[in-house]
Amino acid sequence: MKGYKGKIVSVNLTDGEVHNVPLSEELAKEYIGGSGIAAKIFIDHYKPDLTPFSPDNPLIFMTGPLAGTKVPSTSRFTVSALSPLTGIWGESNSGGYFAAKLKFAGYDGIVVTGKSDIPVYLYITPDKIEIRDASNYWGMDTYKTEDALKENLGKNGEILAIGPAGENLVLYASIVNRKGHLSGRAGMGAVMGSKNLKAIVVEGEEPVEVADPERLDGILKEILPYYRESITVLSLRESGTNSSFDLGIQMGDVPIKNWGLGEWDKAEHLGPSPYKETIQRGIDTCYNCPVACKRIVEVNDGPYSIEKGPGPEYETVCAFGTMLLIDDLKFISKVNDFANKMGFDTITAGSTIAFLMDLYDHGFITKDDVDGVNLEWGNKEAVLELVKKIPTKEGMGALLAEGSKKIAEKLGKGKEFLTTVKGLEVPMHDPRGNFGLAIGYATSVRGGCHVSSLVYPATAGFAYFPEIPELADFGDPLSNESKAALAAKANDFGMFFHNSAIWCILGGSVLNATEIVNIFNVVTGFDFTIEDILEKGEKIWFLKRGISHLFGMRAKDDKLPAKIVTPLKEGPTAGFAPNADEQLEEFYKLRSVDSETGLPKKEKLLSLNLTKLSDLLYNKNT
Amino acid sequence: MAVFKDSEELKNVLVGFFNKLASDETIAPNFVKSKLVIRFNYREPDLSLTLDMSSGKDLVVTINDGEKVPEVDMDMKADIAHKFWLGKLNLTMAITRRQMVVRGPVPKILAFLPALKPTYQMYKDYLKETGHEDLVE
Repeated sequence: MKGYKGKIVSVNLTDGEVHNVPLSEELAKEYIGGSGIAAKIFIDHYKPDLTPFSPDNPLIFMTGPLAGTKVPSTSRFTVSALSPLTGIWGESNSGGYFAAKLKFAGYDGIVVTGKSDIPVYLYITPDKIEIRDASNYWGMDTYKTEDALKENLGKNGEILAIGPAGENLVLYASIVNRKGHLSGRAGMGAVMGSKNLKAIVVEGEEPVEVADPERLDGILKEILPYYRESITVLSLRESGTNSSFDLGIQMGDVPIKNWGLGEWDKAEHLGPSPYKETIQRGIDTCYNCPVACKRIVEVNDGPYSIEKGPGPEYETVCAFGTMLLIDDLKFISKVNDFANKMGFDTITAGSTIAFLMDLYDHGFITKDDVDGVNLEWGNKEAVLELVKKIPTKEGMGALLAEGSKKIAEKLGKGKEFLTTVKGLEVPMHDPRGNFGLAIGYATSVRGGCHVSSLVYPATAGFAYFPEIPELADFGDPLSNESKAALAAKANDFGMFFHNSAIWCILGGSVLNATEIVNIFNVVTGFDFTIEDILEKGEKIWFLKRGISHLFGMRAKDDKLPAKIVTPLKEGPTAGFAPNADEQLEEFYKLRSVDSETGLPKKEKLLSLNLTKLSDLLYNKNT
Repeated sequence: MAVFKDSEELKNVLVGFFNKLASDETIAPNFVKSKLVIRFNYREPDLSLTLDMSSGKDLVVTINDGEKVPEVDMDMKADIAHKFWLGKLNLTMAITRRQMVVRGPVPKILAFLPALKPTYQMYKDYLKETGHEDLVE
């Protein structure tokens, strides 16, 4: 079996046991890699009484078969577990340098169960897997942890670390590699913290073998010019993920004032040109990625000064900019720097503060409820004061650390201001200008997310898969027509493409489906067709969704919050909104899903050979 | 059926629109500060329009101009151009699917994009003012 290393590290932190578990060809062929294999491992570990912070919750780090190879934009990994933020299937996907190094250390993935009595870190090389005392690192931020571990162990290792947010179980804590590459969403850092696992260090130089190196070289020769010619890639290299900001404003893609405003004249201060002029100092990239979309920023003076380091992505620019009516990139860089160091997700953090600002604006809460802070829109000092309390859970930080949905539940009011789907705050792309996003958010397996499937890349227009008709022809962006079929195939191909294989959703977008499947086959030696891949993707989607069903997720949880589908009064999408319910009804029919419960039909699961899931679901519910 | 029946109609509409844009005291300065020379190469019907903003002061529109050397070249069908100025075109998708081919310095193109925002409404207004209401929807 090529591409894969054929081994997974299994660590039980309760008893300190470490095993080397084979990754079989059967498993690889059926679940591909990344969060596909992780979902299979999860269901094998499933227990009815599992909770996000119970030691038995498996925390699964998985690469794909292309990580560590010459194939551009594929050295990525996923982290999966039961999410503390949403209570359902959780996963996060990251680039950086860790995935390639884990492969070079001889492993495809790491499964961590149990809970250590003391803070520990894992040290993994081709020759050894050790659980080491991390007491000296506990309490350090992610930047200091990275620096200190490299100082003590040498610079050859790649490190994943949590910061104080993960240690203190902030429900949307992240995991950080090289300071700027984050597994940000769904609280995987909190699961790591709950196990007293501060970091993972991997070292090794074993190359990844591919099935047909000559043919791979030939294909790479053909596709590498794409990275020099594609306007999308050139824009990403020029201005990072924020390169789409100005177009997004013009098309109504960018949410403003907690999704309540369609136009804001100060938005132009947050676009790619001011970003470059005011804060950008350089660019950066992930392992073997010619796109280079990462930004290096610095703020030399003033209240928001920061040292040179990773800059805010588009999502952060919006979450702490347009969403809060703050038009200051230096301020946003400061928040981003803090969130990276402390290790928490800026989408959930920014959206949670936007939610509170809406409550404040509408008189649902007062200064007394938020530690005396004046939470008026645009108040930077107030936002910074609250943000600083998140990782330590000091004062209002304890509530902020739970995300917006749980805050609304605790307050017993304000649900109409939420922007969550299944407990996860939706990202910074508005379905009112792009109706396909409605069904995309509704059927995303981890909750409100634009990268769970290929709905967003296809409808935003930077990905094009003409071989899959539903992904190429999905009608008017402001119509509900064809969106359910789009979402079904976008989930199926997406489960393979950027969840399991694992291409970067940006870097991989220069390829069509034929090229993608060819490259995968040439690396692995498998002989899949696009149709085979779509079947496997469908199975993975049902498995992940089914895992969430085991924890109580039902059709009611597929509903979108009113806040993001209420027509705006102004701006490019004024008067428009998708009918998510109509899209969902059609989707359920296409998917053999019961529209009352949201559960898959038993015969559908059996046809996909998801027998264990079927038994678990239907023993529970019949 | 194509939006514009022939090159003459396309020329009348777009040249008129660009001239209106060039004389707008709010919008024109944001265009000319780019100092770009942009050439739109339309087909079906065929027409080449050049916007010369190289002076940094004025926007000069010329037709089928073979002398000026554009910094940005954009090829597209006239229907796509119409959809674009109506603000109904997904630019990223059009480029990815090669409905529009853009050549030129990406940094300058990205910097120019914010200037376009107010022009979509201006184009609709212009069509109405000039008796082309049928082209607005």
